[in-house]
Amino acid sequence: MDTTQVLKGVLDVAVLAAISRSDGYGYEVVRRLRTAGLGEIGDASVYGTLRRLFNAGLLSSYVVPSEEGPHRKYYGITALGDAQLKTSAKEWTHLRQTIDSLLDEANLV
Amino acid sequence: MFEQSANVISDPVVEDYVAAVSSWLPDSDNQHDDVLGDLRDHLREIRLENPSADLTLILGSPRDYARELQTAAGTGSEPGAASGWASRVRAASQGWRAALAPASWAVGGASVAAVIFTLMGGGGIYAALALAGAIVGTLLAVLLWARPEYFRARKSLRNACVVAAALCLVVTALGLMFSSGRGPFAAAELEFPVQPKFGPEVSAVQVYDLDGNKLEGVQLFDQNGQQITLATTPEMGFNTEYLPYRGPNSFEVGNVFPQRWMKVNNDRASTGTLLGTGPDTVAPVAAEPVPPTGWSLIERPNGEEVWVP
Repeated sequence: MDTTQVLKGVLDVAVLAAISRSDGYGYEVVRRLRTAGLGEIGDASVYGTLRRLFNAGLLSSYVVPSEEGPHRKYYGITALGDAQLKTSAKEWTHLRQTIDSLLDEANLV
Repeated sequence: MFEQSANVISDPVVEDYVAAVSSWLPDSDNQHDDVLGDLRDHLREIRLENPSADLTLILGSPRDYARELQTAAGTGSEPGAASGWASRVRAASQGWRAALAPASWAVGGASVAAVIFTLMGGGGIYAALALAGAIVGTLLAVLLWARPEYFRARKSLRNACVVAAALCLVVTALGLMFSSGRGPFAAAELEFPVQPKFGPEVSAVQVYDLDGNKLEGVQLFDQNGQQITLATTPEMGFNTEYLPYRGPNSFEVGNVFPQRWMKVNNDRASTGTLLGTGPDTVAPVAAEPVPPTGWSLIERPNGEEVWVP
């Protein structure tokens, strides 16, 4: 199975979930997702998703000065984003249960 | 590697990558500059953790990155589809233009020198080769010096540039040698008549044997067997005609001094007269020189008499 294609469909949920725990800057979000097990996730995919979610009002951003390097642009989830995450989580759970059920009937799980 | 001022960090590797990604993003993309600004900060974070790595090795090609970025960001068109060639080239060369800035003075100075040199009548093909070699070599050297990170990950390209720079150095050296009359082929240029630049003009060359007897009808050769040309074609007037000497193989001989020429006009008294171009005080040629074997005097339909083979 091409997990890359699956990831594209659920990347919004993954990014929102990663930020819902605590705010983070772009590269930090990438690392969170990779540490969680999404090792094949592309840097540009996360970065582009952050931009899109921000433009949609699901994320807010603010700049934190850094003495080590460039100023960091942190992203935090908004109320709208939090609501979207809950909705998406339900949809994902339903989809996962459906797929699990089909695989169970085929004695593959 | 990094130049930091008031927390504004300029990393040429990041700038190159951002410029390359930008070249694949449509110009009409909304918030284009905003996206690139955030991307620059994002890439700097990556570079902080991987200071010696090439971004292309970590993130993939700029084109793939731009495509992935657009897909994830939900901005419409295929990367580069709406971007013209000019804008892509301009963006892609952004980092390189900055790197080549130090060379611009050298190349500009060389170009001005070349123009002045050419206007003064100097140079020729060897000087042009030397100039071209110097310019290309300078550009390559500056690129290798200003973009070590770029060439570190591209060893084949770096080696090719080093070899090309070395070849340019050789071309420059050879061009300078030839243009200045030195080098292994400089002797060949002595085939051309050499006019004295100082002192009086040579008007007569006379050859004597060891006993002091003047030799006539001789030809001069250098130690390499190259014919030494001393005579030039006499100034041809309205009523003069050049009469060449012929060598043993009927080839025209040009090193006989003085040149022979014949007055041609309707005055029968002066036709058929053979005179030297040297001054009257010198008579290196017999008053009535004998034409080469096989020549004869003929009369043209208009009454003129000329010597022909």
